[in-house]
Amino acid sequence: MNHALPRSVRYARRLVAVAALALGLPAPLAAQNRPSKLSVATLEDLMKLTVTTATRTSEDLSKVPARMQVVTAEQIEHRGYRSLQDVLKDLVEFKVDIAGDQDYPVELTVDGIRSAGKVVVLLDGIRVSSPTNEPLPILANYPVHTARQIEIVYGPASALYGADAFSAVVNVITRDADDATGVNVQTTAGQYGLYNQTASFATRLGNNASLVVGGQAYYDRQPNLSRWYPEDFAGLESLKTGVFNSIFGPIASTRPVSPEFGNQLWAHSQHAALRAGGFQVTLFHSQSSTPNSMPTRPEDSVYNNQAYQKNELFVAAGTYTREIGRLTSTTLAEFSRHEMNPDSGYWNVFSNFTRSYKYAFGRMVKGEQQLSWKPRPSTTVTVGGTVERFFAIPQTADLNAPVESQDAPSTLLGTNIPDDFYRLHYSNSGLYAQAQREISPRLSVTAGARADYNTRYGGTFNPRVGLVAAATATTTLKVLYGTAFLAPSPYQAYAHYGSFVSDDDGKTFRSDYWHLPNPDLKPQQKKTIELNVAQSLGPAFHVETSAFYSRFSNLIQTADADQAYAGTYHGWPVAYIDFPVNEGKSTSYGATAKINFLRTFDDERRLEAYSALAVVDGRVWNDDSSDGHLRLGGMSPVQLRAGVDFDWSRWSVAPRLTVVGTQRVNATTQTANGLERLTIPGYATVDMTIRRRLGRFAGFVTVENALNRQYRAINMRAYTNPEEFVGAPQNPRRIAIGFELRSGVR
Amino acid sequence: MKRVSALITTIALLAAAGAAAQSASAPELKAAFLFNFAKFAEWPSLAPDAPVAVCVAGDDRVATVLSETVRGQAPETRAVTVIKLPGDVPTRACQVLFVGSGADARRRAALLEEAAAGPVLTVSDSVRFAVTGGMVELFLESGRMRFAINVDAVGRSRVRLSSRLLGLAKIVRDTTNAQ
Repeated sequence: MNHALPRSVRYARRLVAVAALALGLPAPLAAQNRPSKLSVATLEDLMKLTVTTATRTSEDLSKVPARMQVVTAEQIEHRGYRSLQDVLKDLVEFKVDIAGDQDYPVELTVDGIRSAGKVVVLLDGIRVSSPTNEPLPILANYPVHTARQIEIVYGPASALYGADAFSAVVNVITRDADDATGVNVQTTAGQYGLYNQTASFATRLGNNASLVVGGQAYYDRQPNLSRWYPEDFAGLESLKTGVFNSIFGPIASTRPVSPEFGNQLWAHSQHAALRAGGFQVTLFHSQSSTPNSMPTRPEDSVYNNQAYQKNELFVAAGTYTREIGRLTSTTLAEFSRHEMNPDSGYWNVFSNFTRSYKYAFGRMVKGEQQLSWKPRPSTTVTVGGTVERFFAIPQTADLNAPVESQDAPSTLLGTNIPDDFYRLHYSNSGLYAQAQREISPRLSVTAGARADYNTRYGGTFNPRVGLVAAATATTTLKVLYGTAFLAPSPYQAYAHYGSFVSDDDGKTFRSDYWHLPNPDLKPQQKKTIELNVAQSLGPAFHVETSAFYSRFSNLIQTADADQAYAGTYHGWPVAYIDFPVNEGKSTSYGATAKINFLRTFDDERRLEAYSALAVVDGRVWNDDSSDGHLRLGGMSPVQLRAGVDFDWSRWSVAPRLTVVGTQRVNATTQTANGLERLTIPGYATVDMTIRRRLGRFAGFVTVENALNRQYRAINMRAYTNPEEFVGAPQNPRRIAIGFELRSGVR
Repeated sequence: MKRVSALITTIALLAAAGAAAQSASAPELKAAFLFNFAKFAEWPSLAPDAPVAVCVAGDDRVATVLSETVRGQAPETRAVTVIKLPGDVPTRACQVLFVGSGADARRRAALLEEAAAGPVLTVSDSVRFAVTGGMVELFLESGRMRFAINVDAVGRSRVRLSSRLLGLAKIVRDTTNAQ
């Protein structure tokens, strides 16, 4: 029978079998057997099966009681996305600021609200953000290359996901053997030392099980920005001399400084998913290293590849889903571990040009049981409970030496004083319930709530209501109300940084500044109401508009100058001590409008075009302002995205436009209109990917910043901190070329 | 970490030894449903033992899986042939015509118009297909595939569907303002 198959398919199957043998796995017979089994299945049998590849069409999305977007595998392929950062950058609700913060080298602002810590990242529904919400960069350390689709739910979602589902939830759903079996390998090389390699393998194991393994290695030497921003980098004179004309005056580095500019980053990840009947086991591991010199000026930081933050994450999870009549039971067990490598640290003006060391650790063990009951076809009731136990060592102060053991803290930089090295044990218990009812074929209502109790900061309660109405055959209306809470992470509550100096060779110490912990920090709250209207205009056009209004309370502020004081720390005098506080409230409001055009001309030509505009603003209550409030900072009120995915036979072209309006930072200035945020200019960039398929091979070229624009991203300390640039300089045009081999069967 | 690795290995082994298959991909299910529709329908001009031609347009994955499915069919069952459109076969030569939601709207309309001339069972996974004149609509409900049959459209086509098929379907009519 195989003689009837195309040669490419036969060859692919042989490759799969060889690869499976090499990995010690049973040969993937299921690819042929499965349809045969289904051919003898009765209609009744077929109706019992769960659809594992529930393709999210626009119609499906229209029924979801949430503002949701899906990025498909085809879009990832056409647009040459290498990392989650690339994906999010093209979404109008997101503003992605690169290299604007040392702890958040890829900072996210969603619907005008800043902080990647307010976005939860999931892999197949399992949290792969830091378990204790320590900062983790968003690079190639998440497996976009093997995603079937990436689902983004905007708005508060704590009623479903608990803590930190504050601005958005990003769920990377990986492919399984139902999508494709076989091997997929991709390699990319680009200007300025960019290398990206990915590989994945999927196979069926008998009739009931499948295995998918994948990995990615990404290295980026990055351009020498002093060539494109010569005025900012001033010829890198400090690197050449080893003496830094810092904000505190000339300081010589305590160890030799290479004159070569260095700003490299790298990331890699591995994941495996084994599915067998109702069981699924997921393993995920990632590591990343990001430079932490940017956005500090070269006179105040050493650009030498030796100051970095290295993070490692490991997640293991097992789920078991079982059906008992009308009841579906899902049991989850999860283990998650994050560690900031003890080699991480700074080499800048605040470490007195001595290489300092940092450390952080977080661990979570979680159990969850969910029951879903469908008493009638139009009604679904879901209840669940979860218990999580955490252990955290929040990010340390700058240390003299790498932490060698979690039982042996290092000493504060330049002193013999042991770091506080907080060791936190805490737990969280949550209960949730949700009911979905289709009142009529045109109207459905969802209502739910979740209550959590955390031994560190107490209880929270988050309700959610959603109404979805098919107003006409082509119009869907959604009215959504949701709440969320941002847990005060150990990173926020226990961060401590500052420095001591000694005038008598270490006999006594004094300090100008320390930021100290506040263990009593409470969660930040968010309430949002949204209106979403989706309208089909004929067969090709789809228009979607959304408007939202959010209120925030109990804001977690890094510090309040009015509560700062002069005191002592470790028994030594400190001139100025501040600490994080819950203070104030704010609002955000805005609207997005999207128009999509999809046209299939024939089997070989397909055009998808999109354009999206977001207008967002908000107010923060502020005593220093004459009218009592300030506009939101760390965001851009106007953003536009537009692009085209065009397939023509074996070619595909995907140009994409990003327009970011004037960017507001945190700093303020007194104007005739009162206190206003300071700004940096907006920008417009174009990215482009061209792809050519050649049987099992494909070649592609990706051009980032194709117009070679000089532009800057937001760094929140711009203007206020003289050691930082006003706006983080961004990379020039970069061209990367890649090849892909797909030996699999789709 | 060693204890964790041991736990993961144990879970993995348990999972590998695990339960029966309860899931399938959407293209596999669509193909399997089409295969079944062919078994539970009769066409006025088609001899009972003649093969049923199932034509697929707008979804290559369904066409591929269906081709695999018919290769695995039992010899005692009615033969089914799969034709991928566009091809050199006119639509009226099809007994079952599946038009995927990925097909261009104008092409879909042209195919369905042509199919309306003959006794052709039209099937699609397009939303509101059945209540807008199509005969059988495949749709997802709570993660499972279901189908709706427009009995008025079927009646006009002269295709006869078995009561077993109708008994499992969500019945809609031309006037049904649902789905």
